[in-house]
Amino acid sequence: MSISNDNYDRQELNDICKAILQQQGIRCYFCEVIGKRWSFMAGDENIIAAPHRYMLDSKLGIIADKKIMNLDKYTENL
Amino acid sequence: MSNLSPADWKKQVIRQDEIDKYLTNGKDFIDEQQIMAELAIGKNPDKQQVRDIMQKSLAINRLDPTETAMLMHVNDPELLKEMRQTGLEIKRKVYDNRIVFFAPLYCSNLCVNNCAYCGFKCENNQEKRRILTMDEIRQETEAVVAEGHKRLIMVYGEHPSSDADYMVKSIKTAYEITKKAKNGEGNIRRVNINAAPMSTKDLKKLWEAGIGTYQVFQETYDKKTYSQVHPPSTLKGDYRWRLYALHRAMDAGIDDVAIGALFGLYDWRFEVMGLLHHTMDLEKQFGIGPHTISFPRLMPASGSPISENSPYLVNDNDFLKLVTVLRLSVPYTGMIVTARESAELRRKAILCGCTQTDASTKIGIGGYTDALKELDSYEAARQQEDEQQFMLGDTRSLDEVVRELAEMGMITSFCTAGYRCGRTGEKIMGMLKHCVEGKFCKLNAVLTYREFLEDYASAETKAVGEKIIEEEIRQIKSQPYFQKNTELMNNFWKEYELIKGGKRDVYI
Repeated sequence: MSISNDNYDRQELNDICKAILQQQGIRCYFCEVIGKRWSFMAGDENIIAAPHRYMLDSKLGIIADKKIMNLDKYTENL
Repeated sequence: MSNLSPADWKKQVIRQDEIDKYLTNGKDFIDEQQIMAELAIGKNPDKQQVRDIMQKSLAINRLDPTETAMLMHVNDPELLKEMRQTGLEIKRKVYDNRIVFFAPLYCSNLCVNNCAYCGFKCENNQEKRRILTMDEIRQETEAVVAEGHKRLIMVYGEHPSSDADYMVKSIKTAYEITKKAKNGEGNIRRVNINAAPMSTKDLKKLWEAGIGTYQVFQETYDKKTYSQVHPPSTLKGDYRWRLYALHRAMDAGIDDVAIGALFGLYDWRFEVMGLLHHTMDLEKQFGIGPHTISFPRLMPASGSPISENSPYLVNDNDFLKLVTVLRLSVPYTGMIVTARESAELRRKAILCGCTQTDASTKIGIGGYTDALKELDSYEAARQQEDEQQFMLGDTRSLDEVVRELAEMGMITSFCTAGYRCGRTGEKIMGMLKHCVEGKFCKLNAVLTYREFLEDYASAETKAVGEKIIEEEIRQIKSQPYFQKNTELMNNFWKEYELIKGGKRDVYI
């Protein structure tokens, strides 16, 4: 059993984070966003400082250690 | 708010399928015979064995039940002192030098249950029953924010009038409040919940409202005692519905859950083992242990003789021992000591490794607003026994407790950053176990302490608080970890200056 958010495929989110790391050298993770809460969903669990945050839709966000270029390219099919 | 009568409501709450799915071969994780056997192992433990166990804790590994039992059998004063020192060392390693503060907000004392030890029990005619309206919740939250708090734990009786829909409304109301302070403005940044077990469907509603931690205490893990103090005909009488409340929460997406036991109902050693087995089952089924553990002690409550004459009341020495053992046994978890305890005992418990506490606490329904209205009268200083679940041991203001901690060399933290940056659930667990989260704790403690000193501290507290901030900054500058992480530190300094300039709610 594991915690799950029904709306997103964790494996797909993990794959996006891996692709961003491989292509841009940027570490990141996805969060479910509810009000003030950003709750870890998938991606790199070992990031230390992650000052860059992006809202992808009303419930999904991504936090990264550097500014991600062309983020839309990675997330357009979510 | 449900319109059902309490009797009809009770029938529809418990869902057997949401208990059975977590059982192993039809059994729950509290095997009393096994726990008794574990407790019997290791009486008169060898000093070296105990020191080896302490080393395991120091490496931030959760202890096994028999190791935990061994620690509970230690009676040598020197070894006990070492255990307490190790507990504090673990706390500093995982959470650094900060104590996180929160304020409880009691929303309702209407309750369908009849628990022997509780002032809210339905048969207690001395209790004045009340449920806060949204306007009253607004006023209460404003009063708490005006003290400087950023975290709430909202507490509800189990009753159709305070069902999940009411909770959602009250949570959203609390989050909406903003109140002007001396140099900036304050608000509530994390709302945690202490509420009765509910279905996964209702828990999802709380999740959608943006709660932080969901807290349910089992009260006692001993099944016989449980049925004696919680009449089986009541909702709370269903032991397993409660035992798996947090499993359902995990399935509903709530990844920060909090366990606890009410010490004094049964033998404290058994309850410690119960908390450990609860931790282990959460780890086994979800890969994540509890976000916090609480260990309230039975306190005198209106209309509750057992609260004063239970044969299992825990004395101060045993209380400090159980806090120490829990600290060593589950080294990664947060530990909460509350204003139930006297100021003196709270100080001692904090030095055993507690990470969170409350202050300026009012547990009467509408208690913060009432205290403000009656600020200059004797009544304000008096606790309202007929509107409280129990009596408090420490009624000091937040400012006074912050000052006391500063005098003890500790920094108060109002940080809610983890929850705002995705450092929740399995991610924060990993960071705690690898002692990385403590670095963020240190930086965010300084940032939020700066806010408190700017906006809420008395002159006396500010004077001692500035010294604490200076010392924390000196440590930050001297630690290789921070020296290596230039980008992290650049952000920190930028945010520290922003706060001094009046910006609020910035974090790392």
